[in-house]
Amino acid sequence: MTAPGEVPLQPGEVLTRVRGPVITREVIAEFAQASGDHNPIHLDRDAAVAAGHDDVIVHGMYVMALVGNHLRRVVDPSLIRAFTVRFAAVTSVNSSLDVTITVADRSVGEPEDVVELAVDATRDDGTRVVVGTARVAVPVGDGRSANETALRGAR
Amino acid sequence: MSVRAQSAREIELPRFTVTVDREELRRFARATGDDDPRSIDVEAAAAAGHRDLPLPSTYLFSLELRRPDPYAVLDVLGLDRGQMLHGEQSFTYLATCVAGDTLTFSPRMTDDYVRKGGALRFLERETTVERDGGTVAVLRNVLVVRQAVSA
Repeated sequence: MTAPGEVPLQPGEVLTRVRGPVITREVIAEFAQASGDHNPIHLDRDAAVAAGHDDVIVHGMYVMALVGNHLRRVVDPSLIRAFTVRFAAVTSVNSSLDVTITVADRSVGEPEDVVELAVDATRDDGTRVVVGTARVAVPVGDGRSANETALRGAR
Repeated sequence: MSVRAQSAREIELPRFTVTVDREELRRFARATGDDDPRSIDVEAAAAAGHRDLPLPSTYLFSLELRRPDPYAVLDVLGLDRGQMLHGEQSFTYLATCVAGDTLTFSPRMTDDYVRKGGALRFLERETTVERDGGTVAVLRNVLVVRQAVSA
Protein backbone atom coordinates (compact mmCIF):
# COMPACT_ATOMS: atom_id res chain seq x y z
CA MET A 1 0.00 0.00 0.00
CA THR A 2 1.27 3.47 -0.90
CA ALA A 3 0.94 6.39 1.48
CA PRO A 4 0.14 9.89 0.14
CA GLY A 5 3.24 11.46 -1.36
CA GLU A 6 4.92 8.21 -2.25
CA VAL A 7 5.97 7.39 -5.77
CA PRO A 8 2.85 6.50 -7.77
CA LEU A 9 2.38 3.31 -9.77
CA GLN A 10 5.03 3.26 -12.47
CA PRO A 11 5.49 1.08 -15.53
CA GLY A 12 7.51 -2.03 -14.72
CA GLU A 13 6.36 -2.23 -11.11
CA VAL A 14 5.35 -5.77 -10.14
CA LEU A 15 2.10 -5.65 -8.15
CA THR A 16 1.88 -9.34 -7.48
CA ARG A 17 3.57 -12.60 -8.42
CA VAL A 18 1.99 -15.60 -6.78
CA ARG A 19 1.86 -19.33 -7.11
CA GLY A 20 -1.67 -20.64 -7.54
CA PRO A 21 -3.09 -23.86 -6.08
CA VAL A 22 -2.86 -27.26 -7.78
CA ILE A 23 -5.88 -27.48 -10.08
CA THR A 24 -7.24 -30.97 -9.47
CA ARG A 25 -10.14 -32.78 -11.14
CA GLU A 26 -12.25 -31.86 -8.11
CA VAL A 27 -11.41 -28.16 -8.52
CA ILE A 28 -12.33 -28.32 -12.21
CA ALA A 29 -15.60 -30.16 -11.46
CA GLU A 30 -16.54 -27.62 -8.78
CA PHE A 31 -15.81 -24.77 -11.18
CA ALA A 32 -17.97 -26.43 -13.87
CA GLN A 33 -20.88 -26.50 -11.41
CA ALA A 34 -20.34 -22.96 -10.14
CA SER A 35 -19.74 -21.41 -13.54
CA GLY A 36 -22.30 -23.35 -15.55
CA ASP A 37 -19.72 -24.45 -18.12
CA HIS A 38 -20.17 -28.22 -18.50
CA ASN A 39 -18.13 -28.69 -21.67
CA PRO A 40 -17.00 -32.37 -21.44
CA ILE A 41 -13.45 -31.43 -22.44
CA HIS A 42 -13.07 -30.29 -18.80
CA LEU A 43 -14.84 -33.22 -17.14
CA ASP A 44 -14.55 -36.36 -19.25
CA ARG A 45 -11.11 -37.78 -20.08
CA ASP A 46 -12.41 -39.55 -23.21
CA ALA A 47 -13.87 -36.32 -24.56
CA ALA A 48 -10.59 -34.51 -23.84
CA VAL A 49 -8.56 -37.23 -25.59
CA ALA A 50 -10.95 -37.14 -28.56
CA ALA A 51 -10.20 -33.40 -28.81
CA GLY A 52 -6.46 -34.11 -28.88
CA HIS A 53 -5.49 -33.59 -25.22
CA ASP A 54 -3.77 -36.03 -22.85
CA ASP A 55 -6.38 -35.57 -20.15
CA VAL A 56 -9.05 -33.09 -19.11
CA ILE A 57 -8.03 -29.44 -19.35
CA VAL A 58 -8.75 -26.53 -17.03
CA HIS A 59 -11.47 -24.03 -18.02
CA GLY A 60 -9.90 -20.90 -19.48
CA MET A 61 -12.45 -18.95 -17.44
CA TYR A 62 -11.18 -20.59 -14.24
CA VAL A 63 -7.72 -19.20 -14.98
CA MET A 64 -9.19 -15.79 -15.82
CA ALA A 65 -11.17 -15.87 -12.55
CA LEU A 66 -7.99 -16.74 -10.65
CA VAL A 67 -6.18 -13.79 -12.25
CA GLY A 68 -9.24 -11.63 -11.50
CA ASN A 69 -9.12 -12.59 -7.82
CA HIS A 70 -5.50 -11.42 -7.61
CA LEU A 71 -6.35 -8.28 -9.56
CA ARG A 72 -9.01 -7.39 -6.99
CA ARG A 73 -6.45 -7.88 -4.23
CA VAL A 74 -3.99 -5.35 -5.65
CA VAL A 75 -6.39 -2.65 -6.85
CA ASP A 76 -9.75 -1.37 -5.69
CA PRO A 77 -12.26 -3.50 -7.69
CA SER A 78 -14.56 -0.52 -8.32
CA LEU A 79 -11.75 1.19 -10.28
CA ILE A 80 -11.26 -1.67 -12.75
CA ARG A 81 -12.60 -0.44 -16.10
CA ALA A 82 -11.66 -3.34 -18.36
CA PHE A 83 -10.18 -6.83 -18.17
CA THR A 84 -9.13 -8.66 -21.32
CA VAL A 85 -7.26 -11.90 -21.87
CA ARG A 86 -6.18 -14.21 -24.65
CA PHE A 87 -6.13 -17.92 -23.91
CA ALA A 88 -2.73 -18.72 -25.38
CA ALA A 89 -2.34 -22.37 -24.34
CA VAL A 90 -4.24 -25.05 -22.47
CA THR A 91 -3.68 -26.01 -18.82
CA SER A 92 -3.69 -29.71 -17.95
CA VAL A 93 -5.35 -31.09 -14.85
CA ASN A 94 -3.07 -31.16 -11.76
CA SER A 95 -1.06 -28.15 -12.93
CA SER A 96 -0.49 -25.08 -10.89
CA LEU A 97 -0.01 -21.64 -12.38
CA ASP A 98 2.01 -18.57 -11.47
CA VAL A 99 -0.02 -15.36 -11.71
CA THR A 100 1.85 -12.10 -12.36
CA ILE A 101 0.43 -8.58 -12.46
CA THR A 102 2.69 -5.67 -13.46
CA VAL A 103 2.17 -2.03 -14.36
CA ALA A 104 2.49 -1.74 -18.15
CA ASP A 105 1.60 1.87 -18.81
CA ARG A 106 0.19 4.96 -17.24
CA SER A 107 -1.52 7.82 -18.99
CA VAL A 108 -2.54 11.10 -17.43
CA GLY A 109 -6.12 12.13 -18.04
CA GLU A 110 -9.17 13.98 -16.78
CA PRO A 111 -11.12 13.18 -14.70
CA GLU A 112 -8.96 10.13 -14.12
CA ASP A 113 -5.57 8.71 -14.96
CA VAL A 114 -5.57 5.30 -16.55
CA VAL A 115 -3.13 2.64 -15.46
CA GLU A 116 -2.76 -0.36 -17.74
CA LEU A 117 -1.73 -3.56 -15.99
CA ALA A 118 -0.22 -6.56 -17.76
CA VAL A 119 -1.52 -9.86 -16.41
CA ASP A 120 -0.48 -13.41 -17.11
CA ALA A 121 -0.71 -16.96 -15.82
CA THR A 122 2.22 -19.25 -16.57
CA ARG A 123 2.71 -23.01 -16.41
CA ASP A 124 5.74 -24.67 -14.80
CA ASP A 125 7.31 -25.18 -18.23
CA GLY A 126 7.25 -21.41 -18.79
CA THR A 127 4.32 -21.42 -21.23
CA ARG A 128 1.98 -18.53 -20.69
CA VAL A 129 -1.59 -19.86 -20.77
CA VAL A 130 -3.35 -16.57 -20.19
CA VAL A 131 -1.99 -13.21 -21.32
CA GLY A 132 -3.90 -9.98 -20.97
CA THR A 133 -4.43 -6.51 -19.65
CA ALA A 134 -6.53 -4.74 -17.08
CA ARG A 135 -7.36 -1.04 -17.32
CA VAL A 136 -7.67 0.67 -13.95
CA ALA A 137 -8.82 4.22 -13.31
CA VAL A 138 -7.09 6.53 -10.87
CA PRO A 139 -9.37 9.48 -10.06
CA VAL A 140 -7.34 12.70 -10.00
CA GLY A 141 -9.94 15.10 -8.62
CA ASP A 142 -8.41 15.36 -5.15
CA GLY A 143 -4.77 15.14 -6.12
CA ARG A 144 -2.91 12.21 -7.60
CA SER A 145 -1.01 10.88 -4.60
CA ALA A 146 -4.01 10.76 -2.29
CA ASN A 147 -5.96 8.81 -4.85
CA GLU A 148 -3.08 6.46 -5.32
CA THR A 149 -3.87 5.36 -1.80
CA ALA A 150 -7.51 4.91 -2.76
CA LEU A 151 -6.49 2.84 -5.74
CA ARG A 152 -4.50 0.50 -3.57
CA GLY A 153 -6.89 0.59 -0.64
CA ALA A 154 -8.35 -2.73 -1.68
CA ARG A 155 -7.67 -4.33 1.69
CA MET B 1 -32.15 -25.55 -35.78
CA SER B 2 -32.25 -26.99 -39.27
CA VAL B 3 -31.28 -23.91 -41.25
CA ARG B 4 -27.58 -23.68 -41.99
CA ALA B 5 -25.93 -20.28 -42.00
CA GLN B 6 -22.77 -19.43 -43.91
CA SER B 7 -21.59 -16.75 -41.54
CA ALA B 8 -22.17 -16.38 -37.82
CA ARG B 9 -23.07 -12.75 -38.50
CA GLU B 10 -26.34 -13.95 -40.05
CA ILE B 11 -27.36 -15.58 -36.78
CA GLU B 12 -29.61 -13.74 -34.35
CA LEU B 13 -28.98 -14.48 -30.69
CA PRO B 14 -31.79 -14.16 -28.14
CA ARG B 15 -31.81 -11.39 -25.58
CA PHE B 16 -32.38 -12.69 -22.05
CA THR B 17 -32.66 -11.52 -18.45
CA VAL B 18 -31.26 -13.02 -15.25
CA THR B 19 -31.29 -12.03 -11.60
CA VAL B 20 -27.97 -12.47 -9.76
CA ASP B 21 -28.27 -14.98 -6.94
CA ARG B 22 -26.26 -14.39 -3.75
CA GLU B 23 -25.74 -18.07 -2.96
CA GLU B 24 -24.48 -18.72 -6.47
CA LEU B 25 -21.97 -15.90 -6.05
CA ARG B 26 -20.71 -17.54 -2.85
CA ARG B 27 -20.43 -20.86 -4.63
CA PHE B 28 -18.44 -19.20 -7.44
CA ALA B 29 -16.13 -17.59 -4.85
CA ARG B 30 -15.53 -20.99 -3.21
CA ALA B 31 -14.89 -22.66 -6.56
CA THR B 32 -12.26 -20.08 -7.53
CA GLY B 33 -10.56 -19.84 -4.12
CA ASP B 34 -11.76 -16.25 -3.66
CA ASP B 35 -11.50 -15.68 0.10
CA ASP B 36 -12.13 -11.92 -0.03
CA PRO B 37 -14.78 -11.28 2.69
CA ARG B 38 -16.51 -8.79 0.34
CA SER B 39 -17.23 -11.70 -2.01
CA ILE B 40 -19.04 -13.80 0.59
CA ASP B 41 -20.16 -11.61 3.48
CA VAL B 42 -22.87 -9.01 2.90
CA GLU B 43 -21.68 -6.86 5.84
CA ALA B 44 -18.12 -6.77 4.52
CA ALA B 45 -19.53 -5.85 1.11
CA ALA B 46 -21.67 -3.11 2.68
CA ALA B 47 -18.60 -1.74 4.51
CA ALA B 48 -16.95 -1.43 1.08
CA GLY B 49 -19.97 0.56 -0.15
CA HIS B 50 -21.92 -2.16 -1.96
CA ARG B 51 -25.68 -2.82 -1.72
CA ASP B 52 -24.96 -6.55 -1.70
CA LEU B 53 -22.18 -8.97 -2.72
CA PRO B 54 -20.39 -7.52 -5.77
CA LEU B 55 -19.85 -9.70 -8.82
CA PRO B 56 -16.32 -11.08 -9.30
CA SER B 57 -14.56 -9.75 -12.41
CA THR B 58 -15.51 -12.65 -14.68
CA TYR B 59 -18.91 -13.69 -13.32
CA LEU B 60 -20.86 -11.94 -16.09
CA PHE B 61 -19.51 -14.62 -18.43
CA SER B 62 -21.19 -17.31 -16.32
CA LEU B 63 -24.45 -15.39 -16.37
CA GLU B 64 -24.15 -15.09 -20.13
CA LEU B 65 -23.89 -18.89 -20.35
CA ARG B 66 -27.47 -19.04 -19.04
CA ARG B 67 -28.80 -18.16 -22.46
CA PRO B 68 -30.72 -21.07 -23.97
CA ASP B 69 -28.30 -23.53 -25.61
CA PRO B 70 -25.29 -21.19 -25.62
CA TYR B 71 -23.38 -23.05 -28.34
CA ALA B 72 -26.27 -23.57 -30.78
CA VAL B 73 -24.44 -21.21 -33.13
CA LEU B 74 -21.87 -23.98 -33.78
CA ASP B 75 -24.63 -26.37 -34.88
CA VAL B 76 -26.12 -23.77 -37.21
CA LEU B 77 -22.70 -23.34 -38.82
CA GLY B 78 -22.14 -27.11 -39.00
CA LEU B 79 -19.16 -26.96 -36.61
CA ASP B 80 -18.12 -29.59 -34.05
CA ARG B 81 -18.61 -28.51 -30.43
CA GLY B 82 -15.82 -30.91 -29.41
CA GLN B 83 -13.34 -28.85 -31.42
CA MET B 84 -14.13 -25.50 -29.80
CA LEU B 85 -11.76 -23.55 -27.58
CA HIS B 86 -12.11 -20.23 -25.83
CA GLY B 87 -9.76 -17.87 -27.65
CA GLU B 88 -10.24 -14.49 -25.98
CA GLN B 89 -12.48 -12.88 -23.40
CA SER B 90 -12.90 -9.24 -22.53
CA PHE B 91 -14.99 -7.30 -20.04
CA THR B 92 -15.58 -3.57 -20.02
CA TYR B 93 -17.18 -2.38 -16.78
CA LEU B 94 -19.33 0.75 -16.57
CA ALA B 95 -20.87 0.06 -13.15
CA THR B 96 -20.51 -2.43 -10.33
CA CYS B 97 -23.20 -5.12 -10.28
CA VAL B 98 -24.27 -6.88 -7.10
CA ALA B 99 -26.39 -9.84 -5.97
CA GLY B 100 -30.06 -9.15 -6.52
CA ASP B 101 -29.49 -7.10 -9.68
CA THR B 102 -31.63 -8.02 -12.67
CA LEU B 103 -29.48 -7.89 -15.78
CA THR B 104 -30.47 -8.07 -19.44
CA PHE B 105 -27.96 -9.57 -21.86
CA SER B 106 -28.08 -8.64 -25.56
CA PRO B 107 -25.57 -10.82 -27.42
CA ARG B 108 -24.78 -10.54 -31.11
CA MET B 109 -22.30 -12.25 -33.40
CA THR B 110 -19.91 -9.58 -34.65
CA ASP B 111 -17.37 -11.45 -36.75
CA ASP B 112 -16.64 -14.80 -38.39
CA TYR B 113 -13.37 -15.51 -40.18
CA VAL B 114 -10.78 -18.23 -40.76
CA ARG B 115 -7.03 -18.49 -40.22
CA LYS B 116 -4.38 -21.09 -41.03
CA GLY B 117 -5.79 -21.84 -44.44
CA GLY B 118 -9.26 -22.45 -43.03
CA ALA B 119 -8.20 -24.88 -40.29
CA LEU B 120 -9.23 -22.44 -37.55
CA ARG B 121 -12.58 -20.66 -37.52
CA PHE B 122 -12.93 -17.58 -35.32
CA LEU B 123 -16.38 -16.56 -34.08
CA GLU B 124 -16.65 -13.23 -32.29
CA ARG B 125 -19.52 -12.17 -30.09
CA GLU B 126 -20.27 -8.93 -28.29
CA THR B 127 -22.77 -8.79 -25.47
CA THR B 128 -24.16 -5.66 -23.89
CA VAL B 129 -25.39 -5.98 -20.30
CA GLU B 130 -28.05 -3.58 -19.06
CA ARG B 131 -29.58 -2.85 -15.67
CA ASP B 132 -32.67 -0.65 -15.50
CA GLY B 133 -32.09 0.41 -19.10
CA GLY B 134 -28.49 1.58 -18.59
CA THR B 135 -25.43 -0.27 -19.85
CA VAL B 136 -23.34 -1.73 -17.01
CA ALA B 137 -20.88 -3.87 -18.97
CA VAL B 138 -19.85 -5.08 -22.41
CA LEU B 139 -18.42 -8.56 -22.97
CA ARG B 140 -16.40 -9.62 -25.99
CA ASN B 141 -15.78 -13.28 -26.72
CA VAL B 142 -13.73 -15.08 -29.34
CA LEU B 143 -14.39 -18.78 -29.91
CA VAL B 144 -11.86 -20.74 -31.92
CA VAL B 145 -13.10 -23.89 -33.63
CA ARG B 146 -10.88 -26.36 -35.44
CA GLN B 147 -12.52 -27.42 -38.69
CA ALA B 148 -11.68 -29.73 -41.56
CA VAL B 149 -10.10 -27.94 -44.50
CA SER B 150 -11.94 -28.75 -47.70
CA ALA B 151 -9.54 -29.63 -50.51
